[in-house]
This record gives sequence, C-alpha cells and structure tokens, in this order.
Amino acid sequence: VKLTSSEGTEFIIDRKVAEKSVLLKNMLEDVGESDMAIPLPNVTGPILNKVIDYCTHHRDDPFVSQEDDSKKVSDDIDDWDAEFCKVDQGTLFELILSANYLDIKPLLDLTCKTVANMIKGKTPDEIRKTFNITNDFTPEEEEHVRKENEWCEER
Amino acid sequence: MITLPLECFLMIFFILYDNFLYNDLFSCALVNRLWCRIIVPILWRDPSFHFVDPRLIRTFLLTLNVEEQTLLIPFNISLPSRPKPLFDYTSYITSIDSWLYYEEVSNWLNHERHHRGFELENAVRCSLIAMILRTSKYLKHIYINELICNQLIFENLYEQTNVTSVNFDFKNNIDDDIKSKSIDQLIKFLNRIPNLTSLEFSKIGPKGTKTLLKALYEYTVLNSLCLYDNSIGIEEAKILEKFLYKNTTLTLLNLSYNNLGSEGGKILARGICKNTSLISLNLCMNNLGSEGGKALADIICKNTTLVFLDLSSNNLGSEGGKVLADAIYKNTTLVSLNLYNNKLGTEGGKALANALYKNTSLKDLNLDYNDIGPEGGKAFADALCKNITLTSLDIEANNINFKICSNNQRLVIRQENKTET
Repeated sequence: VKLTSSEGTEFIIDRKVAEKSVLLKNMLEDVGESDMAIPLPNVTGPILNKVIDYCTHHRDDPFVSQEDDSKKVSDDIDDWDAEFCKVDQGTLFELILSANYLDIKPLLDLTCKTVANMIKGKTPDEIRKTFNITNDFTPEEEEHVRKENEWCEER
Repeated sequence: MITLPLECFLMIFFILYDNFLYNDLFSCALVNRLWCRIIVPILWRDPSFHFVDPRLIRTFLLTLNVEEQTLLIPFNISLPSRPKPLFDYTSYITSIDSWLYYEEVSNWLNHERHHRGFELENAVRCSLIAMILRTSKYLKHIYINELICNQLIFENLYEQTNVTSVNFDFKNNIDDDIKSKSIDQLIKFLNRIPNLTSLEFSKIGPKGTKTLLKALYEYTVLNSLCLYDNSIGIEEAKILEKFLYKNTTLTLLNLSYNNLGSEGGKILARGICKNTSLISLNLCMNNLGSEGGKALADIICKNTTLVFLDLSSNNLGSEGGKVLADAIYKNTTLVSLNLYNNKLGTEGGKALANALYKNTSLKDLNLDYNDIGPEGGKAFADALCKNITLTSLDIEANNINFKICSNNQRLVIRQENKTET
C-alpha cells in the first residue's frame, strides 16, 4: 500500500500494517488493490513515520472495537509504548490528531493516556501553562466553581 | 503551538474519570470556562464515593425546591444560604445507589451539629432523592427502599423513563398496607420503562412478586434479574418457567434465599433446559434436596450456555452429588460451580472427584462443608494429578485428615484455613 504525507513524501507499507487504521481499512476495502498512492493531506512525513512505526510494532495485536469500553488504566503502558511516547508535546499532539483522523483506536488511547498522565498532579495554573490556555474566569466565578466542586478533592 | 480538538480532550478527561482521578479533574475544571463546562457533567455523573463529604450534601441542599424543603420543615434545620449554584449539577447524576441510605446523611447532620435521629435522617434522604429524581436528565440506575416511599418520590419517579436498572429493597419491616401500596406504585413505574435491562428486588412478599413476575414478559431487553429472598415457591416457579422458556435476553438469574424446594427446582429446571441465553444462575439456599439436584443435573447436561452455577446450601446429599457429578463429567461449558454446604459425604465427593478426570471446562469449584472425609479427599488428590483446568478448589471443613497437593502450578487449594498451591 502506498501513502503520501502532506509534503508529498511517499511511504510503502504492508496492507496488514495499513489496516490498523480503520480509515485506510475501509478505503482499501472500497477500492480494492491499487497502485495509486493514498494521499493523507492531514499528516506530515515525520508523524506518518511514527504512526507507521507504531502500527508495525502492533501489527499482530487483536483488533480493539470502538465499543469496547473496558476501563482504561493510565498506568498500564508497556515499555515500548512508553518509549514511543517520549516525544515533545507538539509531536504528541500531532500523533493524537493523526490517530484520531486515521482512526487508530489503540494509538489514540495510548497518546491520550500519555496526556492524562501529564495532567496528573498539576495545579490548574500548571495545566494552563502546559496547554497554553488562558484563564477566562472572573475571580468570582472561579471561587464559585471551586466552592461547589471542592468535594472532589481527596482529603 | 497546536491545540487539540475538544473530542480529544473529552477522551483524556474520561481517562482521568475512569481512573478515579477526581483531584485532577477538579484542577482541570478550574482551567477555564470551556473546560469547566465539559468537566462538570463528568464529575457529577456518579459522585457516590464522595457522599461522606458534607460539602457535597450542602451543594445538593441548595438545589431543593419548595416542595422538597417542606419535608424538612418539621425538623427546623437550617439550610445553606449560598446563592443558587452555577450549574444544574444534579441534572448530570446517572445513579441513585444505596449510598444515600447509609451513613452519609447522618455524617452531614453530625457535621452541621444537628440532632441525629431516624426521622430526621430519613426526611433529609427523601428530600434529596426526590430532588435528584426531579432534576436528573441522565438517570440510569435507581435503588429504592421502602423507607422513602412517599407520594413526592413516586411523582418524580414516573418522569424517569430512561432508567435501565432498578433495585427495590424492602428488607425493613413496614406496615403491610403501605408496603403493598408502594409495590403497586413501583410496578406502575416499571410499566413505563420498557428498556429495563436489570431488575433486582427483595422481600417484596408473595403478592408483589407474582405481579412483578407476570409483567416480566414486557421487558424485552432484560438481561439481569435478581429476586433474592422473595419466598418464591412452586407457583412462582411456574411463571418463571414459562418466562425462561421464551426469553432470549436474560444472562443472569439470581433466585437465592427462596423457597423453591425440590418441586420448584424441577419446574424451574424445565425452563432453563430450553433456555439459550442464561450464563449465570444462583439458587443458593432453596432446599432443592436430592430430587431438585437431579433436575439441576439435567440442566448441566442439556443447557450449553450456563457458565456460573451456585447451588450452595441446598441439602443435595450424596445422591444429588452423584447425579451432578455424572452431569459434570459430560458438560463442557460450566466454569464455576459452588456446592458449599450440601452434605455430599464421601460418596458424593468421590463421584465429583471422578468427574474431574474427564471435565476440561471447570475452573472454580467450592466444596466447603460437605463432610467428604479422608476417602473422598484421597479421590480428589488422585484426580488432581490428571486434571489441568481447575484453578481454584475450596475444600475446607470436610474432615480430610491430610493435605491435598497438586502438581498443577496454577491451582490454588484452600483447605482447613491453609492455602497451598
């Protein structure tokens, strides 16, 4: 299967690896075998490379269905996956976007878990800095939200 | 710098939620208005673990309407006077579980230095539950006991037609008249929710049980039915037989602590033999006797879907044990069998040990309190040299005067308070 990234770089991968992506799997089923490259204008070359790495490593994993709502434990990341996610934040976010676009559920789970782990233990202000978010609460509102939800805090 | 779309953040928040990281979700809710709007509904889905926190009850009390507050007037307690909450928090609640019925309310009263007392606690409970029933837009599970059955509760309950799981628990003694009226109201409510998947009720008495059983046909997606302690006997077993015969959605049936006896057991068994969906069956404490045991053995022979079977405390005796053993010898689907306290004796024990030579599906077997004796114990020790599927064997209190060992590394044997592998 041939894929082209947003810059036009061509990638040739096994069909089995490509089928980790539900988007590509459906496309391949619709058009059948073809020499035509599938353009992926939303994914850059370096990111596509990472995604292919992931899909190749996990090529033999059983398929996880969308409905499978088993509890996600944010600590159950294996060594290879943890190493895979040791990238800068920009890359991590791009991986999430690509996994979402290509519909690769296990990769999306993994990257989202990694972000969830980044949030763990941070104060609201640290979270804002991490994700570059501005605080648009008025002080009164913030106080209200805090008061009405402070039961969430472990004591 | 790229930002993620909301759907991705939503996934991340649900990961935090699934891991009970309320602290971190709370921090996220304080990040900005948008995040707050996304997270508040997640935080309030099921705050049950936090009900010991008086601050949560206080936010609840701010949401009471005049009618609900009226329930509290006779007790002259001061309600919090903060302005109306920013969000309709209680609209996001998905479950009214048994939590509100225990310590939590009294904990709040204590905290506010109110005099505690049954009447007051119950009034607070009623007003809170009535409020949640009135305001929740996503309610799926409801637990109700007889103490809160009043007109206001029923009126609000009738509006909750998206509920899928209901638990009625009538374990306390109340006036028969009130009880029967409450049950009528609850059945009226059940008739409004055809999408019920899980129904649990206990101690509602023979009349209520019959009425409910007759209505079972209406629930075409029911998959879990727990009817413990309802004096279910022969008459009720007949209704259940017909129901099981036709039903194709039920996977769990719990009839423990009823009164089936051997006749009721036989009738029920006929229904289950034909059934193709049931996975888990609990008939603990039904005095099935050896005759009932034979009927159950028939189930094990003919039914091919059952995975979990609990027949504990049924006085099956060595005869019952032998026929069950024959059935297990042939069965290939049953994974867990509980025969706790059944007077199986040496003969019953030996027969079951024999069945383990052939059986390759059973993983979990409980034989505690069966007086199997040393001879029966020897039969198990021999059988376990061959059997490689069993992973858990409970064989305490059986007068076996030696330690049963097995070469199977994965097998855990619990015998006379000692655990060996």
